[in-house]
Amino acid sequence: MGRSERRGLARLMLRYPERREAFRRKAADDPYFLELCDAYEATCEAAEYWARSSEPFAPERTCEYRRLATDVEEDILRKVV
Amino acid sequence: MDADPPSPMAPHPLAEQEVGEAMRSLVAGNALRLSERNRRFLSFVVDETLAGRAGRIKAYAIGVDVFGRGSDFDPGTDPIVRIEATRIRTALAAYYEGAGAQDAIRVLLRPGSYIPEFEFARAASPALPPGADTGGPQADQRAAARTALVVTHRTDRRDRCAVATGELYLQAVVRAAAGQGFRVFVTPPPARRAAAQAIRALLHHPEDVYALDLAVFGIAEGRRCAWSLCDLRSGEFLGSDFVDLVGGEPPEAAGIDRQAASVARRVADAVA
Repeated sequence: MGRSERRGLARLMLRYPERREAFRRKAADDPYFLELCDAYEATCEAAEYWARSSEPFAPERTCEYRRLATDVEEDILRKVV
Repeated sequence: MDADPPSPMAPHPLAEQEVGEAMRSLVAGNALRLSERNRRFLSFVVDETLAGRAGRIKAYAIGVDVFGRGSDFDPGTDPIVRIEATRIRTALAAYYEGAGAQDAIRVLLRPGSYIPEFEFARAASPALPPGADTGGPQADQRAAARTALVVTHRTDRRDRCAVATGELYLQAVVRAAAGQGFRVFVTPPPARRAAAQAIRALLHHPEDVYALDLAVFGIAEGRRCAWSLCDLRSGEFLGSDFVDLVGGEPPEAAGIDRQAASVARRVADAVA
C-alpha cells in the first residue's frame, strides 16, 4: 500500500470508526478500493491547500474539493456496503 | 502521470464506428454510475482517441476542455483530473462486473494514463470440418494461411543502437512469418493512415487476428530480442519469449534471421 493510500484509509477510519473492520477487509483484497483511498487523500489535501490559498478563485476551489471529498466518500462507502 | 506507460502488447487497432457507437451508448445509459461531468470526461478521451488524437490526451487538456480550467491550470495543485479519472475507472470496473458483463466492447482506463483502451469480446473460431487434419507443420501452415498477424515494433526509440537491431529483427520476423503463411501487417507510424485503416479493417473479418509485439532491449551483455503474442480482439495472451544476442556490434545478421525463423515457427504453433 502506498503512502497516499494509507493516509486516505487512515482518514476514512477516523471519520467512520464503526466501519474500520470493513475498510481493512476491503483494503486487503480490492485494488479499486485502495485507488479510491488514494483519490480521497488527494481530494482532502487539495481542499486543505485551497482553503489556505489567497488566490481569488480559492474559495470556489475549496468548495469544489469539499464536495468532491463527499462524493468520493460515497463511492467508498458504496463499496463496503 | 502524463507519460504513456510501456505496454507489452499492441493496443487494438480500433474499429472506430463500432467502438464509437458502443461508447456513446455506454455514456448515454444509466447503468454506468457517473456524474454528468465525468460522462463528458469519458466521452472526451474516447472521442480524441478514436479521432487519432490520443497524443493530445493529457491532464492539462482534460482540465481545460472538460473541467473548464484556465490556461494557468496546474494539475499539481489542482488534481481534479486524476481524482475523477480514478472515480471513472472504479465506476467502469463496477459496471463490467454487473450490468456490462456481457458487453462486446469494453473501455479501460489504466492507472497512470488517461488514454482509453478497448477490449473486444473473443469471437468464436471457425470450426474445422469433420475429419480435418489437425497435426504437423503443414497443418500449422494452413492455420497460418487464414490468419492475419499484426506486428508492432516496440523498442524504446531513445536507445538508438537497440532500435537499429530492432529494425533488423522486425524485418527478419516479418519475412519469416510470411514464410509460415501468415498475412503479415506491420503497425505503421501515425503518418501512414492507409496502412492503419487496413489493420482496423481486419477486425471486421471473420478470420482470426493476432498481435505480435517485438522489442529489442540493451542489456549489459549485448541485446535482448523479445516477442509477445496476443489475440488482437480479446487481448488474450498466447505466448512470449526472448533471446539474448551476445557479442559484437552490429549483431550477426544470420543470428537475427535464425531467431526470426524461430519466432515465426513458435507463433504458427501457438495459433494452429
